[in-house]
Parts: sequence; structure tokens; C-alpha cells
Amino acid sequence: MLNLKPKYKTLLKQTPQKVISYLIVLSFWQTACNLGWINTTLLPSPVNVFHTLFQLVVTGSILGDIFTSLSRVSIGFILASLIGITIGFVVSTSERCKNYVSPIIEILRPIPPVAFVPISILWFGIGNGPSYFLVCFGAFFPIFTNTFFGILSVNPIHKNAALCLGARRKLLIFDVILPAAMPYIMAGLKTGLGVAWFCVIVAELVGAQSGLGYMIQLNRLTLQSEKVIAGMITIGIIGYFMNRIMTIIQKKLVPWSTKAF
Amino acid sequence: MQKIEIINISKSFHKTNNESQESLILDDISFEIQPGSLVNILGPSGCGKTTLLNIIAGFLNPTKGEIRFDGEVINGPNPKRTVIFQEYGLFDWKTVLGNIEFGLKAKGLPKNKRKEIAHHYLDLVHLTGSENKYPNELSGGMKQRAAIARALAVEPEGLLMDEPFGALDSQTRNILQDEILEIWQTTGKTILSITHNVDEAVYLSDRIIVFSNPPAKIILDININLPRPRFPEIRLESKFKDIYDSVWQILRKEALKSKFSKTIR
Repeated sequence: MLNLKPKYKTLLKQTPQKVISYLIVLSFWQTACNLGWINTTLLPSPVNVFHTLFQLVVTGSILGDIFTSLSRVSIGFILASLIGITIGFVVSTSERCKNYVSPIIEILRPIPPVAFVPISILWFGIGNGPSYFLVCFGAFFPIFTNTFFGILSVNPIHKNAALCLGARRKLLIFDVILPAAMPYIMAGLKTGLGVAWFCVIVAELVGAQSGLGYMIQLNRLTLQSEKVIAGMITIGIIGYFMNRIMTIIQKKLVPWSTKAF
Repeated sequence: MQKIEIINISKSFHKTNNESQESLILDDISFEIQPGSLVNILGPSGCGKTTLLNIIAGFLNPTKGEIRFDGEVINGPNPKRTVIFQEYGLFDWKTVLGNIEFGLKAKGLPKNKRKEIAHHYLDLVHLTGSENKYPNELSGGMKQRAAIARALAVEPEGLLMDEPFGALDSQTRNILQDEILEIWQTTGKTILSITHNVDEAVYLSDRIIVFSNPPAKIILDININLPRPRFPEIRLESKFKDIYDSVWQILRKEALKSKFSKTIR
């Protein structure tokens, strides 16, 4: 047996299982197309889809859309993080603020971000505006909620320890309260980025004329379903890697956290 | 030097199930702690000894009375009196070094100076080599050592210890008791400690104060005239055993009383 680290051993063990499950689905799909069980105009075969995806990448025509969607999601997400963490912090430290702010948040939270598409197009017009707004709105809630509960759950013993060691307000906030809440905040950011990616695609379906969301919508109109599905797969792959990157950042930023990632 | 004066301290809390009713935890407690002495407070569990320690630390306000430290009335936490907690209270997100440096950072010392001082205390508690570890990588005994170093690094005049070795196994506990004695003898700090362990109280202290069941009053206040420096063998001496027995008898009676009153309720 090879002398590998346990981490790689489990990876080696899991990889065939993953590959097998992908292969089963793909081969079933391909066979169904070949045998004519499926209308390939509506659901093209995997070979066709992956060929199209390859062409889109090689010719570079999809790269512009990827870049556009990523830059939109970045800007909206950074805005949401700044607003969410700030409001979460203020609300959790002041009882009065909490009483004023939480009713507003409770009434906004149940509205799905998608429901804001029409009004955001009216407000910002077709372009980047609706995407920024929707991403920011969607990502705000998980970030805010996690920051809020993270700060409330700071162990009083840590605050007392800091105070008796002579910590003043600034040190208490930046060296004790925020780092203590960091595992929660990071979890909020991770969920928030997932929602943000979802929101940018939704916004681009109708509120933009570029980006991956627009690209799949446009190809629907021209009945190029292989491009629609290739776009969807791209969206899925990027979303997957975003989550992985957040997990890596999480491990780097909160190495002391015993919470499972 | 500094004297701790506890003057007519009473503390009552709202009962958890009834907002309007208050229950008295500390009932008019007064005593003085002489500079440089090592005093242990013993008492049945739930007797309010931790409450008193929290008041002296400045985490809680007394309902009545006041506490003077060095002649000044205490009105909040202050690095002149640092606290060692049973559950360590280390900052999980900081390394051992970062934890020890925290109080020095609060003082506004520059980074190289902080590091220098922290290394001195790291050495004092025999943690050199573990400075870059996070608390969750340490054993209980090492955690408490780091917490002791952190509390000492700000050069407090008094050390308040809340069942400092209560979460440790008995071997580690005995080792740390000797280390605390050594630190106390070399630094000459006033130490007020709380424990439910009679052996520990007799072994360490100049003086033992025993609290009754709540509302707590002082039911015993004795000086321990065992010679110093003390070594573990002192436990075998008849004088040690006599003191141990007399303190234990009083504490036992009190603990049984509370158990009895709980049963009839």
C-alpha cells in the first residue's frame, strides 16, 4: 500500500465513487438521447453539451460573461458584507438599536430577492444596477444574522478577562468581540456568497444584457439549448469553486474554530 | 503595598422565577486582606464565594457596602487586580504569546517590548516552546499556566483566583499548587483564591475564611501557621492534618445543612 497522508487516502477512496456516479448519470443521459427517448432539441446529449462548452471556452465567447457575472457578484457581495457586518455589530451591542432595526429586517427577510427584480429594474434600469442591488440584498441577511448571533454568543468570561487586563473599548471590539464572533461571521459570509451567486444569475436573466444569466436567457430565445445547458453547467462549476474557496479562507481565518466546516 | 478591604458587602439577586423577589447571597461580609498574603475562601457550593470574587474584580456591583483596594473604592475592573478563571478564559483566537501580550497591548507597549515581557512570563510558568500554540492545542494544565502568565504579565498588585485548579486532574493540580506558591513567594503579590478543596486551602494559605450557606456569613476565619516554604511532604505532618480536620468538620457540617434543607423543601 502506498504511504499516503490520511487526507489523500480518503480522497483517493472517494474519487472513484464520485466519478462512477457522474458516469452513470451521463451514460444514462447519452443512451437516452441516442435511442431517441429524449427530444434532443430540448435536451441535447452530454457529448453535444460538453463539446459546446469546450467551444465556448476555446473561442473565449463565454469568458466575457463569466467575468461580468463575477465582477457583479464581487461588488454586490462586498457591499453586503460591509453593511451586514456593521449593522449586525451595532444591533447586537445596543438593545435600543435592536428594538428599532429588527422589525424592519423581520418584514424584509421573507421577501425573496427574486421579487425585487421588477422594482430594481425600474429603479436602476437595465445594466449593472439591478445585479448589484439584488446580490447585496440577498447576501445581506445571512451575513447580518450570523454576525448578530455571533456577537451575542461571545463568552462573557472573555469580556471579563479582557476588562481585568485593562482593555479599553477599541481593543475589546477588535481583539476580543469580533474575533470571538469570527467563526459565525465566516459562516455567514459563506452562505451569503452562495446566495449572492444565485441572485446575480436571477438579476441577469431579465435585468442585464451581459453575464451568464443573460447568456442562457438569450440562447433560449434562439433555441440553442446546448448553449443554455453549457451555461448552466458553468454556473454550477463556478458556484462550487466559490464555496470551496470560502472553506479554505475559513480554515485560514479561524484556525482555532472547532466548528465543522 | 496594597490592602484589600471588604466593607459590609451585601449582594442580592433577583430570583430567576420571580422578578419581584430577591434572594440574599452575601450578608454583610467584612474582612481585610493584608498586603502580600495568600488567603483562601472556602464554602459550600453555591454559597456566593464566586460572587464576592466578581465584586472584588469589579465585574459586579455590590448591593450594599464597598471594597477598597489600596485605599481606593473599586468601581470596575482594573489591571491592578487580575483574575484567573476556573475555565481559563484564554482567547481561543490568539496564540499563547498573543494571550500573554494582550494586557501589555492594552497598556500601549510597543511590540518588541511586549514580546520581551511575555517571554519572561512564559519562562516563569514553564511554557517556553509553546508560545505559538493555540489554546485548543494545550492540555488543561498548560492552559492554566498560560492564563497565569497572562494575568501576571500586566504586573498586577493582587491576583484573584476563582477555583483556579478546579478543572484539572489531581496530579496537575498538585504541581500547579507548588508553582503558584513559588510565584507568590518570588513576586510577593497579594493572592485571594477561592476553592472548595480543603487540602488546597490549607496547603497554600496564610489564612482561611469559610463562608456559610447563603446568605453567606463568615463562620470561620483562621490563620494557618504552617512553616514556609511549604513542600508536599507537609501534608503528612500531624499539624497539617489537625488544621485540615478542623476546617473540614466545619465545612462538612455546613454542606450537610444545605443538603438537608434542600431535601425538606
